[in-house]
Amino acid sequence: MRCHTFVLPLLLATAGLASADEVLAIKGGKILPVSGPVIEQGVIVLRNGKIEAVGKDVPIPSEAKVLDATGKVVVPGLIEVHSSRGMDQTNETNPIVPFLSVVDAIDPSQDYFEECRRQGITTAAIVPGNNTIFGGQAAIVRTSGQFLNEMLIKRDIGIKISLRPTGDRNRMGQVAAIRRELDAAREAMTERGRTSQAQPQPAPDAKGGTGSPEARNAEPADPPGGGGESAAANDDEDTQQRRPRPGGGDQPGQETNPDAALVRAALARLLKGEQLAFIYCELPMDVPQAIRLVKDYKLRGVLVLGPQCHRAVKQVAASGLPVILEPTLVLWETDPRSGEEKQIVLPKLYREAGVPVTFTVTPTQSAGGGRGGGSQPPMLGTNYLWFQAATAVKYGVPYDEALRAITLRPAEVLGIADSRGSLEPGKAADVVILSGDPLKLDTWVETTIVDGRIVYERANDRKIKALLKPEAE
Amino acid sequence: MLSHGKTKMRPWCFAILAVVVPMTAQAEDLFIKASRVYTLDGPPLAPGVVHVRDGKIVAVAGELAIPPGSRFRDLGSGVLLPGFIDAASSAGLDGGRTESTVEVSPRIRACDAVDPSHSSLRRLCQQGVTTVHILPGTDNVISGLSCILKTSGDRKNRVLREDHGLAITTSSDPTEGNSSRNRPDSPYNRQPTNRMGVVWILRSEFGLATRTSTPDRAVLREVLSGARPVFCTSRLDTDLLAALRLREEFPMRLVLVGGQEAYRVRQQIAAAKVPVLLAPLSTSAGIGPESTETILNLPGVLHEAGIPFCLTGGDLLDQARFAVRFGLPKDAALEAITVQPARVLQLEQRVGRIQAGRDADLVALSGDPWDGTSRVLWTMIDGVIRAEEP
Repeated sequence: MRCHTFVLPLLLATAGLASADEVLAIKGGKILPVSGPVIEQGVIVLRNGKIEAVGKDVPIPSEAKVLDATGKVVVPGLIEVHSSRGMDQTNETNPIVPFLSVVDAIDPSQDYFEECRRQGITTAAIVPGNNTIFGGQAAIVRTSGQFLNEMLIKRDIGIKISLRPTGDRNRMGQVAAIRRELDAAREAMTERGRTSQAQPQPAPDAKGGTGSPEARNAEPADPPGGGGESAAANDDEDTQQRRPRPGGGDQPGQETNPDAALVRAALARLLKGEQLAFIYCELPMDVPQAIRLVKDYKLRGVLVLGPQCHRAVKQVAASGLPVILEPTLVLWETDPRSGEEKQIVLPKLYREAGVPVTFTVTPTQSAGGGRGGGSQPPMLGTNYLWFQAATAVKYGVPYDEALRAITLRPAEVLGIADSRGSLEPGKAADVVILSGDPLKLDTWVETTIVDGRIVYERANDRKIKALLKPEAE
Repeated sequence: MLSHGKTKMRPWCFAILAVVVPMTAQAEDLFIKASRVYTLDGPPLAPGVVHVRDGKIVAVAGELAIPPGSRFRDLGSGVLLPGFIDAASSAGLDGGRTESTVEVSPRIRACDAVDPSHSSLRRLCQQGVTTVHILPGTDNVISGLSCILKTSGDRKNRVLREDHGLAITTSSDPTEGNSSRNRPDSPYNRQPTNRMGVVWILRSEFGLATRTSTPDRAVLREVLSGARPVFCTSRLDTDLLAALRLREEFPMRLVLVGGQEAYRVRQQIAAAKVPVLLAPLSTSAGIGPESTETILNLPGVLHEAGIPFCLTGGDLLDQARFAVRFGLPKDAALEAITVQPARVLQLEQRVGRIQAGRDADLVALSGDPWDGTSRVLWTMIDGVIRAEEP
């Protein structure tokens, strides 16, 4: 498996995508395009991996393979806006590795991707975990494909920054480390900028700025993430010893740190607004800190918020930054004085504050082993993206908004709304056929189509059959 | 009882205007009308009216004459269900659930340690759970006596049964951390060190109880005489079979708890007519505790095999909903959180159904119970609304 991951980047350069020149037509279903009104008994034509036409009276090409969706519901492929799965390990031991890329760690054979297809998730942003300072480059992938090159939609879309302390740092140290690295990168940029014109530009709003065009072939000039590991321990020690100097980029021992140049180069792209900054906030107190970072360094920030961060909802709303919620959407808090149990419903709370949110899901496999009933399983259903949206509806979020939060909204946050997230002509043919309403408990994914190819059919899903109707032993 | 003091209009539940105040006027008559009343005693009434007085259900019917002076609540499109019963819970137990310095502690009582105002009990109440069976932990082979109480109410009247059943296990939990490779005086020199040892301790303890009498063994004798049920936590198929074997050797009223792999030995369990209190369902089947191989449709499979079972461990309505998604019939799912646990806990005459004479434990939902977007509006225990949607 290990050598596998090494080989992948090589394959990336050589192998091309098998072209999906098959023409598919889905007829008879109730189409929820998300970007427009519901189409009863509509037709969708998919050609060359793109949506060719959507509508009520669209003619079906004679060469098309027709899928009859009568009585079923057709929706755009769901998008998980932030996931740290699909890799062998969520974080590198070295906490400052913005130059590494998840592309080198994604294992297409992981259960996660299979489960995504089963759930109708066609696109996922794989982002390094939260146990880091600068966690590395995120990538947007299709959830189907045998090798990474088939999966990759867009690499190096953003960097994970975590405000939760790593190692034996406290929060002061964590923030200081973030700022020190950003300062150093900025300084290096402006030095270089005296000869060229590499000024940090004001970042476009992540919603409006659709980012660089989707380019799976265009490989950004990115340092390879191979050599980082050997220097890991070294660098960490180094970081501990250095004292934070606000605005100071002069780092003792920077010549001896082989990663320093890589770090600066990677962060320069962040500072230029070429990439998103996925900023993880664990506690409410981290939220203003994150907003300050975004302001000070003109980052294209996306807030990844832990459940408790709802206390900072006003600041979040004022910042206007896109929000990704962790899987726990309903929590209980005890009033310290009265002892009253209060139920906090995050989708409702954020909505009332005017903050549009996107959802993520819990890992599908409960941690095995463990002592008896000790470890609580994750809350029921939170491993389904549609259930997260249904929870929002349950507590008063309008249906359309909830459906949008698992389709078009994540596409907007990730800057791929021009090609994904809704059923519109010209967009990628990521389509899901459901047995019923997408947010109902008894609905199942019947067919998942990624780029015009059928990648999942419930009728052939042997695993789910075994889980529902096991053989007697 | 209920007051109309505070009137906040909400678009989503126009009928809910009352706030909770301590019960004063006991003899007040209350009539609650709902678009559907799931009595669990025949098909649901649509619509239905429930008459409550003195904490008991007086009558339930499609229509009832409402005498002047009595109070009336109309749930509109809301529905009424009997309060849910969680037949295997650890709610209210803080600071460890087992006395793990010994392996056999039949006289340890969960009721001595339950904090009736514990947040976990309040949460259960908000989720519509009105009765809860609290079991001591599984780190002992024989860990102690369970108790049954309502999730809210006066301290005095809440306890339904102080000492109900005896909790034992055939799982590997009691072996955790035990080892024989220590100095003899090491605290880690604790029996048992493996699964065989667990069953051996059970067998020898029940064997000794038939011959000798100590206070501890008196409890075991109550078990052997059938006066006290046994709740045996078993997850793996082998552990479930071990529990069934033990029951053959020593007559006892056995109830299985956990049962993650019960689907593998469903014929044997069905033949023994032993009920199963299922561990909390998970929507991500795979590997469960003790490396059990879990499946999604365990409730449906047990139902098909004719095994009586309950859904336990909180979130009962959500569990029932997902059980239905995975293949359990709706009626059976509702029974698994009401009638079945009442039966297993021998409380059928008091709770589990909306029927004249039973405790007025009711749950009001905003809509169809199988619609995932219906919420619990309020939970009534003994005629008093004890939790309400904020």
